Amino acid sequence: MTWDNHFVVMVFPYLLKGLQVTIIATLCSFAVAVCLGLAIAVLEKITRGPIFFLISGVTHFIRGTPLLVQLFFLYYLLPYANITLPAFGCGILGFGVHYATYLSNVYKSGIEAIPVLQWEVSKACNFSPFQTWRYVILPQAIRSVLPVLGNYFIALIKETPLLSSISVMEMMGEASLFGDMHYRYLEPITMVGVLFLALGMVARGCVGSMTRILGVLREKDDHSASSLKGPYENSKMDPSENLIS
Amino acid sequence: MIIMEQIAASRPMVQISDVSKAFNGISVLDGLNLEIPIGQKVALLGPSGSGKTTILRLLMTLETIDAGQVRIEGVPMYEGAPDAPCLLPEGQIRAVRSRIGMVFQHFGLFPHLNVLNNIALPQILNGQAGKTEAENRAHELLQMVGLGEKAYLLPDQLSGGQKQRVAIARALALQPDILLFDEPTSALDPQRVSDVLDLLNMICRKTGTTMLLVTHEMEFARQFADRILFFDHGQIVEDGAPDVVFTNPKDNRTRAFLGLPVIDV
Repeated sequence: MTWDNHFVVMVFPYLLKGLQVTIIATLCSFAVAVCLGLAIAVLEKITRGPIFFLISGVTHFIRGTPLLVQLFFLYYLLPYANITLPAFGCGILGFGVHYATYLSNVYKSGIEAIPVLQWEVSKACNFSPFQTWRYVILPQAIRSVLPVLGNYFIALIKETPLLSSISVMEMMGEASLFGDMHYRYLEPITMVGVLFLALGMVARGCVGSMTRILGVLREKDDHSASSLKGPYENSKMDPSENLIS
Repeated sequence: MIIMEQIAASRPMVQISDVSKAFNGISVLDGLNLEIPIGQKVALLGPSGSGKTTILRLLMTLETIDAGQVRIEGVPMYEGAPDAPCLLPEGQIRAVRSRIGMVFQHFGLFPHLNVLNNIALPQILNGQAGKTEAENRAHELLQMVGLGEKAYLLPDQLSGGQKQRVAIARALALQPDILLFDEPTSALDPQRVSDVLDLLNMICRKTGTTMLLVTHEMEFARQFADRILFFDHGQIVEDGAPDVVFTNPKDNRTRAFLGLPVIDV
């Protein structure tokens, strides 16, 4: 089989259509994961007894089973319980919840890294528990785990081809459909690889600059900060390191 | 009316009754009784582990007591039987806690907020002031502690002495009736200690706030305090005016600590 540029031109519009779905699915799933993960992390910190065991049991279960199985469960088995979600919805829910259980661990490590003194000072400033979380603990915890969240975002992009298994026509789905129709897989699959590589690089660039911007603009009214070192410039936590995948 | 005021005035600002506290079975305070009148400046001295800091921490509700009762101007902090006291529920204890401020050994500034917001935020969240008013008061306090220029820096960009002055400004901003200082100078370089001590002296002269200071700076405690409490093993072994305690303490443990000759009994 030799490379034929003709097929590259032919498949490209389909792949671009798939790329849109990939991007939208990634962003939606990650938005769900970021919010739900934070909620899980905080709930695991403030609850005890049966509620705590319930939450941590469910998250362990989700973290411990394959994402593909969960997607199949949502897509093929939920309709038997009279819950029918569109394929895209199943995908967002599956990815979002699965990654939320990972991100909750990331948030928890960020929360646990906050010195006890910050909690004590919050009490001395007479903050309510909610105010302590909202204004003292979470801003610091989230900022410290931003690079790790970025790594999960990049890992999530690369897992989205799983969506094609539940008939969501993202990039990989489009490529294999094109292949099935034209009996030609070399160009479509290679192009998918190339596009994922490009997407990953763009995402890494975005994550890197976002982390820096959020780090430098810790305070929007901090006039002097722009001339000074951002907290992550010397940080050991580089978003491109420890890439999980 | 006058009678009411007299009753209020006769009530101690802090009243600690029969308080016991143990950490992992090791007793730190055992049946402690202590009353501090309104406006008194008290220095708590004594060797490490003698329970001085524990008293500040239980007033700030960072620790709870195992037995006894603590009252702030007559208002109890605990409910239930004296042998099994239970801290008041969050809503009620917050009202009591709002009367107390604390300055910590290791400053505890909020690292993600600039100096100005470190002082303004607690006022805003306590509903004491709106944003503009809180910031104005923060600027005033920063001028007072000599850091007017540093309002927009982050805490990490300050020296230890400057951080502690910001922490003191933050505590003052909430206008507490009782201020607790837990070894405010012991984490500082020797050359920075005097900045903080000068500031404490100034506040001490200027306000009628009741103050409790745990320190190892003997000379400073003598200038600062109206009353010295000397602790050893969770007990007050010396209680009196600075001149008396420093020149002629009754207890041999105090004498030994101050390097005075021990009296033979």
